[in-house]
Amino acid sequence: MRERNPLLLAFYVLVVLFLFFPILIVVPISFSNGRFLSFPPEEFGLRWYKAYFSDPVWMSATFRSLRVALGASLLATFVGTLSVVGLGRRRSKTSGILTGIFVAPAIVPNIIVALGVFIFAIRMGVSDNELTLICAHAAIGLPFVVLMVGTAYRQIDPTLEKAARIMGAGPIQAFLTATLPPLTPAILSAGIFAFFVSFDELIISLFLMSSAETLPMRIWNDLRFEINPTIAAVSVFFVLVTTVAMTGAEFLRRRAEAKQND
Amino acid sequence: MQGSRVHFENVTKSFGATVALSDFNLDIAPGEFVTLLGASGSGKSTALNILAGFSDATSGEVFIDDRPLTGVAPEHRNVGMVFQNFALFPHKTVAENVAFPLKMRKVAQAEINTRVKAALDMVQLGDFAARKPAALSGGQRQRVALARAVVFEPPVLLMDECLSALDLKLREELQEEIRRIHREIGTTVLFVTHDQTEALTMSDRIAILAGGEIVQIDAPEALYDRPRTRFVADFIGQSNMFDLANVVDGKASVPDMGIEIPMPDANAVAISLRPERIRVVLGDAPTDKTIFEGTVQDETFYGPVVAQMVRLSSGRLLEVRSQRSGHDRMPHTGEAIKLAFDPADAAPLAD
Ligand SMILES: Nc1ncnc2c1ncn2[C@@H]1O[C@H](COP(=O)(O)OP(=O)(O)O)[C@@H](O)[C@H]1O
Ligand SMILES: [Mg+2]
Repeated sequence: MRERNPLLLAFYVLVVLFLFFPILIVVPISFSNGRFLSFPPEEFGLRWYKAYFSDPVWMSATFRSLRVALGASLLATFVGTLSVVGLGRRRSKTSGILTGIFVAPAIVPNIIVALGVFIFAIRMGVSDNELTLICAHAAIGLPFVVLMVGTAYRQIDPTLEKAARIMGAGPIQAFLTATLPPLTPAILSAGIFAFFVSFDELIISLFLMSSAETLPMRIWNDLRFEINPTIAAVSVFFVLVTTVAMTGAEFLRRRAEAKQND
Repeated sequence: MQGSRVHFENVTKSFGATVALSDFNLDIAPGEFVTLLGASGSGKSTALNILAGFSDATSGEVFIDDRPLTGVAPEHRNVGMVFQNFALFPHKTVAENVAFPLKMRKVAQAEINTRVKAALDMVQLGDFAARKPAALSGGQRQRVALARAVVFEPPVLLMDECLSALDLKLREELQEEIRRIHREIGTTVLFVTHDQTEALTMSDRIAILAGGEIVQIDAPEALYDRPRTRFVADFIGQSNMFDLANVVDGKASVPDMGIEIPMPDANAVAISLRPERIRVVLGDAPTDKTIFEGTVQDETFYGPVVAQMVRLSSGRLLEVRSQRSGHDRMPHTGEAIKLAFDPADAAPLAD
């Protein structure tokens, strides 16, 4: 073992505590059996988890969020990957400008995007519509896909595709054979990322949706009227889903990566 | 299998202001092994890429067996290619890599299996079929790439500096192997290298490229013994070059040596003399040779061969290489000596 610097170790512990602090507070609260939000809780139980899972409003918001996030992630990943491939490997003026446009939603504040999408949706009569929300969320997930997949794409040896072509594969077959497999880990990561960009997005959803709530909207609306420990239970569930999904995704990604060099 | 004839006709390729190939003409006989040899940037890869279909000629045409290739996609040219960086699919096993061109040709699975096995046996990698490329050494990877390039018996095989990523010993092994495979399958090979030894040992003919043009194309021996320009004489092997004066009536004088030699080529402006074609004469001078004089200035020991730098009376330095197997003693540094050569060994240079 390497010798540890005690100062560094202390700093490390502090940073981890800082990052986990909200979770450390929320987890005990979620297991309280009291009627009100209090810390530390006096009595423990699963009361608020039951409340969450038996409430159709919370449940439909949860499933809506999962649906929207899945749709947005698939759309962003598909469009983003195609953009990367379309832009090609060589840096040109056009590809620079186009990359800028694809990445813009990551730089523009979400509230501006929300306003734009809202006005557009009202005009087109497609507000309060899950599909519209999926498209809007796909737009803000797109930059991450373009950046993550783009980086991986430029590291793939272009002669692989040439080799596939000269051996008899058409352009699409060559892409599927030579480029897509090594690109898959990056596409998976980007897809997961885009999923969570949508899953915890609030502002655009608030603007665009009214009757149909997403999970963050439900939390937000709930918080405005009363503060009860359901939110803590929801949050813990939220964290759990995220952790499981991220771990699963990382596992898949590693396996895809390992497949190439075992 | 029978190789195809490959024919470049007045091919020109420019990238903006850069002319990568200019009026390139090359006719390769069926089954011939031709090497493009040239410095980096001389247009070798450009020529290969145009033949493979990865890039289009700006003008001119390429033919395989009289079939013009403009507009034919790489996948329809039926050409094999080995790349410098192997270009094996990392996620496929060795066997899957080699099977790929057969799959693309919709060969039946049973036949794929036998042919893949035969191809891997040919490069002595039969036991590695189930491995991924990452689990192979550089030399083994290039062998797999070679097996994959020939498994579908392409009538034309292209290799772009495919050995230059390997170390010397492996390179020599693979040179041997490529020559053997070429003999076995009889395909036409267009091989690219910047390594002159590789070119000399492997090729039927070598085309020397400079600035996108073929400056000379000949069999290795002819190229070495009869370079036609200073550039080629200098590029291939070691050479002593001397300007000629008064080239008339089948004779010319060599001012640096202070002698006159027979010179049938009226256009010659200089001669090239290989260091090993000059003999140090310590006893009586032979009468059938051209003799001139100099002083040994320096000596380098190479093992089987010793090189002497000899200063001529004109001040010019010249290199002589002698085999140490002879019984003659070697001259010492500072000794005045006579040098002899056969005028037929002096290659006339046109520029
Ligand atoms: N895609 C390209 N764009 C611009 N110039 C190129 C391109 N490919 C090659 N060239 C130029 O063409 C010339 C010949 O290149 P190349 O055929 O690759 O040489 P070699 O393979 O002999 O090293 C070089 O000057 C090179 O810079
Ligand atoms: Mg090259």
